[in-house]
Amino acid sequence: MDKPTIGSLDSRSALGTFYEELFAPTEEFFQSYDAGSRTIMGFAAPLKGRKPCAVELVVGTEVIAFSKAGRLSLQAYAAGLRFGWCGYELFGLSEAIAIDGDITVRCAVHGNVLHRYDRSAIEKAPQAGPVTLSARELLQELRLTNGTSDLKYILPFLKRYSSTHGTRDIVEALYRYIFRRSADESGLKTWTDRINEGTTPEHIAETLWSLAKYENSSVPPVLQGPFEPGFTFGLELFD
Amino acid sequence: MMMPNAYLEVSPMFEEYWTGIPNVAAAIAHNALRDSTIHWQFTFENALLPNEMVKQFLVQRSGVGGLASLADLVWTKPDISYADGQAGVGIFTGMKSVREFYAREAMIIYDLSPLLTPHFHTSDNINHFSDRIRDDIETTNHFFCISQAAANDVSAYFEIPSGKIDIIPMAFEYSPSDLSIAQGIARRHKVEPYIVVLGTLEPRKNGRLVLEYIARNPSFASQYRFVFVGREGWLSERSELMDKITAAGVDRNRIFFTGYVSETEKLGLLYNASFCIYGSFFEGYGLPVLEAALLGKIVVCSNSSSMPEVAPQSCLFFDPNDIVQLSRAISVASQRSMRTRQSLQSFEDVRAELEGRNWNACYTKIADWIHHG
Repeated sequence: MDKPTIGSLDSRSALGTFYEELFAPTEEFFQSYDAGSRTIMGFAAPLKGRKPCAVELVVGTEVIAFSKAGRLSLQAYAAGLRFGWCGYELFGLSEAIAIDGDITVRCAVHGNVLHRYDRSAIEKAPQAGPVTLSARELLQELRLTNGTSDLKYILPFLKRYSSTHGTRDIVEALYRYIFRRSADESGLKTWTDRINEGTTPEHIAETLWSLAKYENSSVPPVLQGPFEPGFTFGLELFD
Repeated sequence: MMMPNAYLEVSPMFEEYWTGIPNVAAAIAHNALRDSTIHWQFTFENALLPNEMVKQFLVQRSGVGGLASLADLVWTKPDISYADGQAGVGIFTGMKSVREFYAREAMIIYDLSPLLTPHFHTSDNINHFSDRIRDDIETTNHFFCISQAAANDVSAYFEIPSGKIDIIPMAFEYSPSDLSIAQGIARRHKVEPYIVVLGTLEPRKNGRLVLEYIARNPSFASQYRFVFVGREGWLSERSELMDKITAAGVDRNRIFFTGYVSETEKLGLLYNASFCIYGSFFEGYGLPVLEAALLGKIVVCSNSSSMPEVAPQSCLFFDPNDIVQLSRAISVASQRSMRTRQSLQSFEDVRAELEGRNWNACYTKIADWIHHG
């Protein structure tokens, strides 16, 4: 019953069982790295299914960083993979090169090596200096990690949801997703009437999203990705 | 030996945004799903829920859509029969929906705040709680309290013997991905010094005292930005206090109200903060204090109710009614935080710290009572 202890890859099989509950094994993988920020980015995806993948940056047996592959990846989007929602970022190459051992990215579920890095190439590349962030900018950066400010990456999910749900459900889902609250009575009536008169749910979504951005200009809102709590349109597209 | 039948009432998990009580219910449900020694079923009042629904809530960390599904369920699935109830054990994660329905019944008690601090509650809330609590307690065989303070209150006000009360340790559910994101920001950026003031904006959380501190110490706000993390409310009082702060010469932009934040955002904000303030007048536990402490943060913490139990080694305590004590604690925290080397901790060091405080110990107490109670 105890959660497996983490700390070394010797506990991989136990850890894998735990992670299998949350993540899918990686079957499609792409990586690149930014030498300046020493960040690895790319996408990791299963062939299908409603769970995201997860990847780890490992040196020897020590895990340096972990990422759920549920971010928006423009490369994955261009490749037609998971509507783009299988991106990851791994920070910590600077720490990695300070430790002895092979530098690898691995599938967090099965532990298999997905990519191996050339330590000397990383060490040679000049590192960019730190960027100063205000607390407000920090929050915005955190918000964007698992979301997007561009509605077009969410519309396929909305379209699928709209094909299987009634008008009221669609408006409620849009309110909970965009405004993080239930629809008030007047909003519910206004937008259900519009849909019933022929306006598409996508057009309603664009209107509501514009309103949300206008109301929250100090820290612009972000649309959460499909693997985040509060994503209201379901994951059937990944089946 | 026959496996015991147990029913976990999970109505708190139907809430859209999970904070304290839904998170506790979810953690118990998650462990219950993995326990092969007890035949667990999940209920909303008397309605049996499919396990898949509970799993979906756990994945999405929200009960969104649950009530709509429930409306369909009640027409298609029978309620638990009285005979089945009498053959099982009921565990209630909120107010009891039924009484003396199961062979044995246990409640989780978070606090008695509607009775002890009625001035922080609406009259509807007070009436609802007071109308129900005595009968709930009188029909319950065992109590799981989330703190010693809550246990003391239950014992004192309802004369419950100590043998019928267990304290269940609270924990911090986190995502290793969120931890990595927070560390990644610390590694790549130089973040301005800021202080996180924890808790939803409501009178009980005592944000007013912090704003009054800022008004009296305008130079401190030029050293640190104050970030109030949590859902916004209490808008007219906040507006009045912000005017007072501006009149004292503080730039309003030095104070930032985040509104609702996700778990990713909360962990990132906590991890990169200089230190935290939690000035609540009353808590049943004080989970935000535990979260901040496990991430290595110093917490300037109210000394009221349960809060001194949570993470005393990481806290500088003050009387939530005393601005002078708050000032002294903030001054010490500021000095200590400059010496903290937390940003150099490895991913695995921090993860081990967080893993050490998982929900197993809490669940084990409940499971033990089911087996042997």
